[in-house]
Amino acid sequence: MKKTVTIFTFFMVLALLMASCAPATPAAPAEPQVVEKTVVVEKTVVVEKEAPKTVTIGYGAPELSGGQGVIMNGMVTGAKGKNWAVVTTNANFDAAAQANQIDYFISLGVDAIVVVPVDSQAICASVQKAKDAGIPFFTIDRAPIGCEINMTVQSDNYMAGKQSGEAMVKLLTEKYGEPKGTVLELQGDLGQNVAQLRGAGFNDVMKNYPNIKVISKPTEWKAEKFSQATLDVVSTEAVDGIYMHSDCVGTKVVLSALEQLGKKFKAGEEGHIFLTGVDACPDAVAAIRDGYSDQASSQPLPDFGVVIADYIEKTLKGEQITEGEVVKEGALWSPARIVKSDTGFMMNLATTSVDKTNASDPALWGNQAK
Amino acid sequence: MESNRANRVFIFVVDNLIWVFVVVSLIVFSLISKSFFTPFNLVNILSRVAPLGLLVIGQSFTLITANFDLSSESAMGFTAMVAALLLASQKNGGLGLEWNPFVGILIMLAVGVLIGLFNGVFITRLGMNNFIMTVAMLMVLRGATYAISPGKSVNFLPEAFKWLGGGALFRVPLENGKMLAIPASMFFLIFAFLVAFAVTKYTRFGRNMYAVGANRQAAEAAGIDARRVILWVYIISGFCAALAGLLDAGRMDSATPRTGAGLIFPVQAAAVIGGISLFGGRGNLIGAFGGVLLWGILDTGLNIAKVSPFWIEVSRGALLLFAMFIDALKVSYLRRTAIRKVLSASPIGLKDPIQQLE
Repeated sequence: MKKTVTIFTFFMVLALLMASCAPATPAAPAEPQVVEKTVVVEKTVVVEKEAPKTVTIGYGAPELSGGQGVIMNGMVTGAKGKNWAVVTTNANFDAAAQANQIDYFISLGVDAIVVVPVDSQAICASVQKAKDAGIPFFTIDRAPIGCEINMTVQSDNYMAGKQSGEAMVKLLTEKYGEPKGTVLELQGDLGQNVAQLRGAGFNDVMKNYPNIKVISKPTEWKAEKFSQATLDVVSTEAVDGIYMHSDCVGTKVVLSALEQLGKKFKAGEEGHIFLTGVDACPDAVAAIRDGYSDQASSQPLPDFGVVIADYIEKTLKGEQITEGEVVKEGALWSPARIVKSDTGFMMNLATTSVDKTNASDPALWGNQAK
Repeated sequence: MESNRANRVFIFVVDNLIWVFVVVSLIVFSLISKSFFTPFNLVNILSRVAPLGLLVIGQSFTLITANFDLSSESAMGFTAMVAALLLASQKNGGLGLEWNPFVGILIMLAVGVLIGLFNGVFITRLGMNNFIMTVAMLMVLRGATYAISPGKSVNFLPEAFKWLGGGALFRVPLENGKMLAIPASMFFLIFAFLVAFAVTKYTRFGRNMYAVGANRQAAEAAGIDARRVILWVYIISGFCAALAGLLDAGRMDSATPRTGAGLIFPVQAAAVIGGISLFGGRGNLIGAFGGVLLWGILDTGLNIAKVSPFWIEVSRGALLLFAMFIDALKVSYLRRTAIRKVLSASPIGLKDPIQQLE
């Protein structure tokens, strides 16, 4: 009895092994069926020749809250515009799950893979697999680190910092008649490229105005640190304005910290502290409309997928992507720049400076996210 | 005699039910999607479940002795992080030591063994509850992994370290001109299960494990040092967790603070689905391998069939529930037949209780 069990199981293992090593022929359990199957295969080949093959895109989202949901909808919109099919997956902050999902895409034989990496470095193992399978690889919103892909489309974080910096200078000039005052900069995780660029864009503006004092506090994108730094600095210094590297994280907690200190006032009221930031999350856009916040540099999140669809099409046709400026009349992301970096082509989309004059614009992603 | 044979057939069917499921699911998914039954996908299923498989081996050892090791997913993450820190360059999140990869592998295996030893000593010598002890270790090790990590993933590990988890043993040309890499991890997984099967089936230690799991008092009365056996199964489980860490870090080319997080549920599920009884003393490693395969097939197949992730979760839960049901059914059936045997052999003819049992 035991022998039969063992023999049975060994045959199962053997069968699986053989099946997995065999060349790409469909399962052929018995002779007559093989004949039938070849007929079917021939038929489908004929059909494929007549009708153009639909392009399928595999899209891997890192998670789906807030901005990432908007980015994914943008990809779906972009693919629909080209009559492509999209298979979407959600890694839920798990780099290993994302690697598995990219394996599914390769198994499915998608024509191109678009991913927002959970982990910029860990994604490289998957990039290599896609390369081996001959599938072009794109990322949006974030770039990989340490491997080359076809293209990345993301927003211009330096420009975003610069826009917030310029807005801050303008606000301070309106208040005092000249650019002076004290500004608190709530920094993101400085180990990341994104935070470095948002800081550099802002500070490159500020260093032209020696009478503006900038106090920088690292927060590692953590809400409690945004709150703590606001409480610490605003209670001890006469702060005129606050610049947040991410208003998604910051807006709510900074405003409630100001409220705690009795310093939450609307724009125009005595004692109002200027708020500027990058991202233009729904919170921030709403705060601008309510008058508590002054400016936000909006990333063109819904456009990432639409823009990259054009370049996926180019790549699939075998055309080359070229460096240079890209201008599109009427688009929020225009003008954009394409540069060749060590991780492949990188397209930086322009950000939009949002203040009370355009805070209700439905084209802003902050007004699209639910 | 007739009932004895029916009895055997029932046990045979129940013990090998997993293979029916494996075959049925293979056929169903092949019919649903033409991208399922492809060499690339089948090879991928086997290499992807390799870390899970190693954890299942460790878990099966402890389950057979009627113990749990819930800490193995954290042990896997912790050992992977230790090795990655020693091997990766400073730029990629490591400590910048860039040690020899083989030294790194040895150290991570040693750490795994130490974790198992720690679990085992606390459970056997201090008589601590195995469930709570390993839950505590699950939390301690996960926290420690976050603490020693640079707060992000550690990447770009040496080739020799990655080979077992992510490397190719050889390449096979496909008809479309591409090359199919046959992963080393696939063969390692099968090899590991064969070794584990041999140990549990054909060694004195393996028989002692089953004896301890089936009835610890009886085993101890028969002269088996149960505490020693249990200490060893925890050491084996720790070692397997380190191997799982090696495979996973190799496949991902990185160790993250979350490596292995959440795997313990699939591990328990795959073991139970594969016929390893939660009551201890029953099940074999080949069945457990079937459980791992079924898990991988469902995971990939449902994804390729584009089933919503929420329904995938529901189907996994339902499968686990079904496996528990079969396990419970089997145990109660065995108990009933055993009692019947004893009663019918009774010299004073206890007929009435048998009728009551019917």
